Amino acid sequence: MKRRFSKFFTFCVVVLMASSVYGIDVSENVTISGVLKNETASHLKLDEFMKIENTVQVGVEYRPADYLHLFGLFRFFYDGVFDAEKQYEPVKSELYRTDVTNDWLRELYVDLLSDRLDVRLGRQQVVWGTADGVKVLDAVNPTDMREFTLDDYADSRIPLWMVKLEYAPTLNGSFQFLFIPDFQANYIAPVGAPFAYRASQLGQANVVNWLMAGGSVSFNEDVKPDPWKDLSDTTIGFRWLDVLGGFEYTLNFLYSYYLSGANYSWWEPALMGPPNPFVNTLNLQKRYERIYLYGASFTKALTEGPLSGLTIRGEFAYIQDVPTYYGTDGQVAGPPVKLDNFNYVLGFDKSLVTNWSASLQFIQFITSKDSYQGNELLFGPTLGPMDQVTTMLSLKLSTDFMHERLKPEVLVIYGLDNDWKISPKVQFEILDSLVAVAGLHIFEGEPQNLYGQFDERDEMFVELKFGF
Amino acid sequence: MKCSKWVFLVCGLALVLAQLASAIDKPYEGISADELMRIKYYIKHTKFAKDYQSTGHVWLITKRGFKRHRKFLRSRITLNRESDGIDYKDMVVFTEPGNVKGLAILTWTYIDPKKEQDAWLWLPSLRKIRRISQSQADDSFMGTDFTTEEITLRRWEDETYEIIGNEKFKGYHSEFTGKTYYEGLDCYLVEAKPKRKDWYYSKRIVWIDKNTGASIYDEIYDPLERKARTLFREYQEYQKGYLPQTLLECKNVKTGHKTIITFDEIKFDSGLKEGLFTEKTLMRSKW
Repeated sequence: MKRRFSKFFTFCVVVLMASSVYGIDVSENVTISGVLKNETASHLKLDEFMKIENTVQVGVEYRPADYLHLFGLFRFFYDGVFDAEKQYEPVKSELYRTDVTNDWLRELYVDLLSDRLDVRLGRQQVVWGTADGVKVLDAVNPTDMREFTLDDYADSRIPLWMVKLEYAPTLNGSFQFLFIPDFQANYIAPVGAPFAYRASQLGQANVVNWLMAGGSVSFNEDVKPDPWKDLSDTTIGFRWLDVLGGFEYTLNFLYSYYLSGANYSWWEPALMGPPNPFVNTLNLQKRYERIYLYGASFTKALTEGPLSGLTIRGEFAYIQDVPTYYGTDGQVAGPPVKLDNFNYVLGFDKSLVTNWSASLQFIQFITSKDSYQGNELLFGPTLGPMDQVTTMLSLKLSTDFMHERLKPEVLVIYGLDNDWKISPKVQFEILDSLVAVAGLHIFEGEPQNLYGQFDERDEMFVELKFGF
Repeated sequence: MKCSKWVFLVCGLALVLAQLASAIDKPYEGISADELMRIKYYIKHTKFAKDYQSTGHVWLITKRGFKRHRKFLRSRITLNRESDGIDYKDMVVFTEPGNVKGLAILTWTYIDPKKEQDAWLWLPSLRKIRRISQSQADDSFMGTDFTTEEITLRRWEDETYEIIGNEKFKGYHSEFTGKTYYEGLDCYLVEAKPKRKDWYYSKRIVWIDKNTGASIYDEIYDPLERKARTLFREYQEYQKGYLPQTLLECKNVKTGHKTIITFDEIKFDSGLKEGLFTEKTLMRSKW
């Protein structure tokens, strides 16, 4: 442990030294900026690292004219935990550096700007919605979940090649059109990674059991949309945004895919009775099904009256044709069935007593049925039984000391199934460009639930970030 | 969401910066305290220019001399529009240091002094826009030595006033610039007391330039009547007779901490369009 921390502190010293000498001169129409970052996480109970990630991210902006901007954002990281911890070595090749989701090219686009119409062409992120810690409308880009949801969304969002048009027919009204001839799925951590889903582990265990029984398995190629070859696979989105008398709202539509994919399994030859490992071959395949998302959001800051200073916000998504598993705890009974989901979050933000602010959210995920063919519905990430209505609450509290040099914050997310995630952290500004963060991620709950599945994966982390 | 304090600091500075003293009422012989402070606030909240742009620097300096720095670009358009009650709109984009680079803030300020600002924040680390609520009035502004109230919220109606004397200003020496300002300037001394009970200050003594009506120096006293902070403002005459504020210094007498804010590259009436002050513009941010 001492040796590992000494490596980390060596890195800190190097960054500190760099911070005193770093500096980049840029011309009037070119800006270069970047971040050097070390993130180290350790298991809270075990003598085990969960992340030793060093990241370099560089952004370059070139503005040849007021109406024409070019921007590129490049990120490379190396996670030394796959060298340091033997138990993670089997998945090292997949996870230790940037290649997996091919997202070293975080963003690369050209902006064509005018009073009424902005066009952004290239690889980019588009963010809908503003909720803390959960995604309701933020469904345009896929997500890299190698670290579950612990990473900043801007880092875990997987960028896509697309055309984004933003047309403003009125002063505050803006119509956004997205044409996305690109597809990438959510990246789910493989079994053996620090944050592999319970569903992945159960799936692998089933396969292993089948093989141990003498059966054979055929891994069929994933059925991935390929919009470059077939334009009908393209994702399309619309959003209308307006502000009326301080009331801001959006209307959203997205014709996309269920980005986590749906796992299908079948036996060949077709079963005439219970599967027989000496007769039947287990076939596995992941498919990506089309979904329709109809959404809306609003925010209203109350600027007068007794509730003055309170911001109320809401975010709603009705999603058609979401592949949903059914069966019993940990055991899927058949191919996924398409059901509709209605998800929403209501948020309340307020400054409290001096230098304290709070953000409270009420969140619900609702499925159109409570069961299927007499089976329970199963929650995708865990394959645990899923209620028709899943309710969660979140509370974020933040304050600061030492003239905002020291900033403590805590985010608590609580599911009514007694499922918790508690994430306190403290940020300290060492120098203008050098920031240190330390914190915890604590999970509590049953393994069938979202956070409870990581009940034994509590971690403490430190980050050191140098910006230039 | 402590970033929101930066929002209100800078948009509040919009108010402060708007102290343009060309075509406004001036103090006169025998003026009452209320009238004098009304002129002072009139200066503070009046925007003679149609639009304004500048580069700003904030230094936070501890007693031991440790400095932190922020740099931002600021744009403002004056509307004073009755139809929707909007007085002016502000856009602020932080450019330094790296950990706040790209943070952008849009605020709409209303003519009605009782109506709080609407504010939107572009969070570069999340790549999204967040509507934010206004900070508590006695909160520190973004870690500065100013309170939110001093920068954005305080209105003429919030205090009672009394002229307690006339004197030549003894001069203010800035350790930051090494200069002494306004030595010998004829000033009114006004005592301002908050109407609100049990508030974070008991009174402030304000030095007001007899010629322009602009306040150049405040002494702020805590609830136990002890001097807690001082606040100095420098103005520089600009084109068209505008008199924008170019330097603010706020010192905490108890802790020795101080905040310096400077403005340069100031431009007035450059023809900014209102369409620049929308979410569409915030979404153009790259960082």
